[in-house]
Amino acid sequence: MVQGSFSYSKKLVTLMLLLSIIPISLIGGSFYFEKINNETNSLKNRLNSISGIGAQNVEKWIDERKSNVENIATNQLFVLNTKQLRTSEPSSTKFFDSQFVLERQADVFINNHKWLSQVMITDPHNNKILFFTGLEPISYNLNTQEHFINAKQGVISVSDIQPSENAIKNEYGFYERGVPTLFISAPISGEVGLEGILTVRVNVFEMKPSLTNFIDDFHTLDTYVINSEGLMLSKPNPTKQIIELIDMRPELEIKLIDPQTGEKSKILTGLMEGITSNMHGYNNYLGNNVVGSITPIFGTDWFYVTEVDKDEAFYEIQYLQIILTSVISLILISVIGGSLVFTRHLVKPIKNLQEATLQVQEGNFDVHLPTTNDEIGTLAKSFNKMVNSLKESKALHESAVKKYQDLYEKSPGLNRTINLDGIITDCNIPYARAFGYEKDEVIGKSIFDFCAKESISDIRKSYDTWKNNGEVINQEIIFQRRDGTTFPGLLSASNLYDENGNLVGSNTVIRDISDLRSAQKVIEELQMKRLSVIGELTARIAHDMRNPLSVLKNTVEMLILKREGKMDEHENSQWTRVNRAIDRMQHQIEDVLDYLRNTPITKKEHSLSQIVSDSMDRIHVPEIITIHPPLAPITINCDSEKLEVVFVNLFMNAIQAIGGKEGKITVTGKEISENGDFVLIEVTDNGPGIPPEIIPRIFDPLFTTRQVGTGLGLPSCKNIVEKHGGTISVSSIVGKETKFSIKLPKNKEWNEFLNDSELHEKQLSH
Amino acid sequence: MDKVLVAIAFIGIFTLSITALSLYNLGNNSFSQETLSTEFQPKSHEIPLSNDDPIKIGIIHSLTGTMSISEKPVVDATLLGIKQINERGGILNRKVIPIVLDGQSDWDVFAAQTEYLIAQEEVDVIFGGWTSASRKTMLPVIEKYDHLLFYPVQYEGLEQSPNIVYTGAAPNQQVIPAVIWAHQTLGNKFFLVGSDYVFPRSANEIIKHQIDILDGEVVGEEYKLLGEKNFDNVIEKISKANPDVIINTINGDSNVYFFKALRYAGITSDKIPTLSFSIAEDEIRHIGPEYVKGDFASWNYFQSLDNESNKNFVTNFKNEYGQERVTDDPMEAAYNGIFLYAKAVEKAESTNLHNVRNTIKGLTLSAPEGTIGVDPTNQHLAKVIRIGQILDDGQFKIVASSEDPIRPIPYPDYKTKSQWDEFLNEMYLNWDENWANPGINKTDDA
Repeated sequence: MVQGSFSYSKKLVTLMLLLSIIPISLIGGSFYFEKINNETNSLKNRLNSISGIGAQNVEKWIDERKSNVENIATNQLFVLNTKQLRTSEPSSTKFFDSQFVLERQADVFINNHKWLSQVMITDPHNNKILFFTGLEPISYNLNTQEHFINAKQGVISVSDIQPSENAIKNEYGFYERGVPTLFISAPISGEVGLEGILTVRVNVFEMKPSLTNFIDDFHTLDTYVINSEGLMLSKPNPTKQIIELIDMRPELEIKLIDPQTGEKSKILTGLMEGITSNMHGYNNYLGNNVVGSITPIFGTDWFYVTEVDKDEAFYEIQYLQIILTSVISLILISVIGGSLVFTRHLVKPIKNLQEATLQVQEGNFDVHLPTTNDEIGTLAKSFNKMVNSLKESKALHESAVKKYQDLYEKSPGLNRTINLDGIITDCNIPYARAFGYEKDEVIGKSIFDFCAKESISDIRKSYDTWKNNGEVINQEIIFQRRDGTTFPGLLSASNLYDENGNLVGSNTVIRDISDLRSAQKVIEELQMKRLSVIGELTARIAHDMRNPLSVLKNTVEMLILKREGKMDEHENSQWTRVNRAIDRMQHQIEDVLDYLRNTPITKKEHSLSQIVSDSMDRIHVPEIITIHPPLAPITINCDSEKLEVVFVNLFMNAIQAIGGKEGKITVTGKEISENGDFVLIEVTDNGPGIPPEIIPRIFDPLFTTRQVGTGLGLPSCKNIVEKHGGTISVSSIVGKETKFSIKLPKNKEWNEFLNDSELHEKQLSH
Repeated sequence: MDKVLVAIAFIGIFTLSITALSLYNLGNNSFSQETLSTEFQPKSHEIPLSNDDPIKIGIIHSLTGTMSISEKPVVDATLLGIKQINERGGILNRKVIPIVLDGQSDWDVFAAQTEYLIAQEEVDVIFGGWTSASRKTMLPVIEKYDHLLFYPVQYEGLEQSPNIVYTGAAPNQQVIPAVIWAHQTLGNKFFLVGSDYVFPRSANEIIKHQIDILDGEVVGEEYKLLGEKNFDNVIEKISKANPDVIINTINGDSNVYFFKALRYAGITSDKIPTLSFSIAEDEIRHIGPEYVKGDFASWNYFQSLDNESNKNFVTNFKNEYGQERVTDDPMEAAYNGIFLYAKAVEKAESTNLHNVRNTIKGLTLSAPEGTIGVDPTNQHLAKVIRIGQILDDGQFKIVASSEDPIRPIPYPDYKTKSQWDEFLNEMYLNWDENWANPGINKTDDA
């Protein structure tokens, strides 16, 4: 590229050069104004000199005319014939002859002198016109005019310029009245005195040829003579405009002095103030914008006016103006152009860098900056390197992100990301789908929106757990779909940190375990089915076995009775062992039967104390263990027989747990009011307690920690309590006590209670 | 980058072209004022003239008939003078109105028209007549009303009415000097041929006297009626007589036939030159210069005169009537008459005929033929006599001139005035009280 060879120093030099345009313009401007000044001055001098020379020429011209007239007046033919005219009778032959001679001579003069348009001779003694050329005399009343009077006194004299009385030829050969005319009167002196007065009409327009020497100086130079009344005395340049003015001769005056307003042409006005030139431009008699100079003509009240079209006068200035403006504009254009190019050169690498940076920002690492030899080039090299390393790390990052994303998006688990407020900020599509939402709808919702009513406490718990522990593992929660249906799931959450290590939320994985649950259920059902078969079989076996066992026991007891006292220690203990085994068998069969027996419950009002004491009767309570029946007189609406089984089981468990130690089993009963009346029965022993990990499974059937036991005791208890519409729970403090709490509805049927409570809720909601 | 460069280049070119254009315009400006070329003719300036109280000028010339060839151009010249007078503001600021009447080449008609103009039209002055016959029939009417006639043609003289201003030549201003010149230059033997009316007869009477004085010889003298077309017998006589010069006083279109017959007979100007007194530039136009070239004519004015006043006259006449037209002596005389009348009226400050007749006496004027002046004693003009030779183009080369104007002498001093009057009267009576031979082919009969 070009800028490769365009180092910064060169660029700066260029900049400096470009900056120098300002002084150049200033110099050009001052040069221009100086030139204007000079030009104006020289123009003024030129015009003044033309006016001056012109004025001299006019002066000379008038002098020449005077001398011409004098020559005519002193012409011998004129003198003699004037005398003869004066002295002879008009219409005499002598008179005719003289007149004829004068006519011929005047004709010669008139033909020889273009300025001479008419000749007249007057008798000075009686002012009678003796002779005139042309058809009409020059004037009928010369005798009142100064030049005539002067001539009578022997002095050749020039009249004022005056418009002709008669129609005389104008400068174009046409007859016209009011043509500016000038008279010169001269005495015709004979030997004995004044013979006549010669008066000639001078064609003032003929002044012009003697004034046109300057025409080469300017194309539009116009020189003319005016008198103090503004009357034009000389023939102006014959332009078309002038020709038009000939038709309105009076207007020719008006242009110089308006007869109505008396307003003078600017050049005249200036003269009155002693200013003999006007370089600012004014409108001349033709209405053209001119510059001019005016000079008085010595010996007259005439003025010589020189005018040049302003355009031409300042031609050089205009030329200069155009040249200057064009040069300056060209320089400006090149400066602008140069600056543009320059700036582009200068800025382009930076712009490239900027663009590249932007691209990198947008993730395009394929940019490559052109490198140059200048500073920017070095920068570009570094940039390229940086981009390369970024590119590599980005690839790494991308693969990691991809892995993560795949994991997040494509895992079968339902993944969601929440912030610290429990608002979902992201989720994967399976998540949204699982809940019946679109992904977009999910984001922004609270985690509680996805949780079933019954699990709200769970989710809160898991949330708290996460907040406290930083993670949640396999928390089972019932989730609620959009349509209200629920499903169970396992929730695991882990912390999410921002780049600064601040906790910003968590990634949560939810595993839908409804399939698992249903499978479990099926298994359970299958198990139940099998169990019921087994149970039935077992019940039948137990039942079938109970009778022979009773027979066996009775037989054994009878044998013992028979052989009482006859047996040695060994035999005695053997019998006892047999007896105990039978007892155990019986008990086990009882347990099984209790558990399996699915007899309907028949509720009656029973005293709790009674039930407890009946239960105590049914078991063998070791001496070292005391059972404290409830003190409060509480009645329970229950199937007492069944409830006895519960207490028997609990007592037996307690006794077994206490073992051979001294122990205490306390049964308390109290009525509580919680959504109705309940009876809370607590059976507490001071045994070793139950390890907490066992507690959840303690009511599961066949779960036993003992060598001896069916594992059906507590499940039976649960069965019975639940059939009563109550609940049973256990709490234990290891090493201190174990407390079974049975909550039974006091009087009413459970169903009735439920109905009532629903009714109650409905009423509330209304 | 390219776009910017192109844009800059474009702006640059644009500015440059504007600059160039400005410079071009500046150079081409020619500074607005078109200086007029010399050919430019500014339109003439009309001085407004009222139609009230105009000065009426009656003009009587033959617009038809044998004399119309000569007289019509005279009317044109008269009208040109009137037009120019009006252009410069009329006379006494009064408009001049011409009333042109046709004399029909009939002298009685001239007289009748004159009476009509004076009595009916109440004209201020009359211009007209060519033949002496017409003038002589008009004269009694003019004198009857004590009016004023400007007569524009050279004539035989022998007349001096105070009511006529004779702007053409008197015999001593044309005929006599011409004969003297012919005798000196062309030869001794003269053959006289003319129309049979008062001018040729009177002129020849004078010529014969002059030839006699010069010791010359008149070898023949023939007259033909005005309008005659057959000159065969005259030509025959000329051939027989073989003169040195033919003195021609034929008037009107007969000249066309005379010269054609002369040339047809092989008599060229080389062999026998003709000196004519009634053929001017306009007649030559009709005859055809090829028939008359080399011949001579005597006049006071020729179109070819080289002076400012004549140049203006010729130019104005051609501008008015056409570039093919020519000016000649009677035309110029009539034209001068208008200006003389104008100056006389200006001087009299009135059209009163008595005053005008007074002021016109001794009046001088610069005219195309030179300075002229009205002799206060006889109302004839002082004039210069010139003899010209006809050139190929019908113009005259002036071969002789009196240089100074000659005072007019209407009655040549060969005879006394009464003798001349008697001579004329005899002729008049011979022609049955006519100033021209009224007979039809009388000479042929004779």
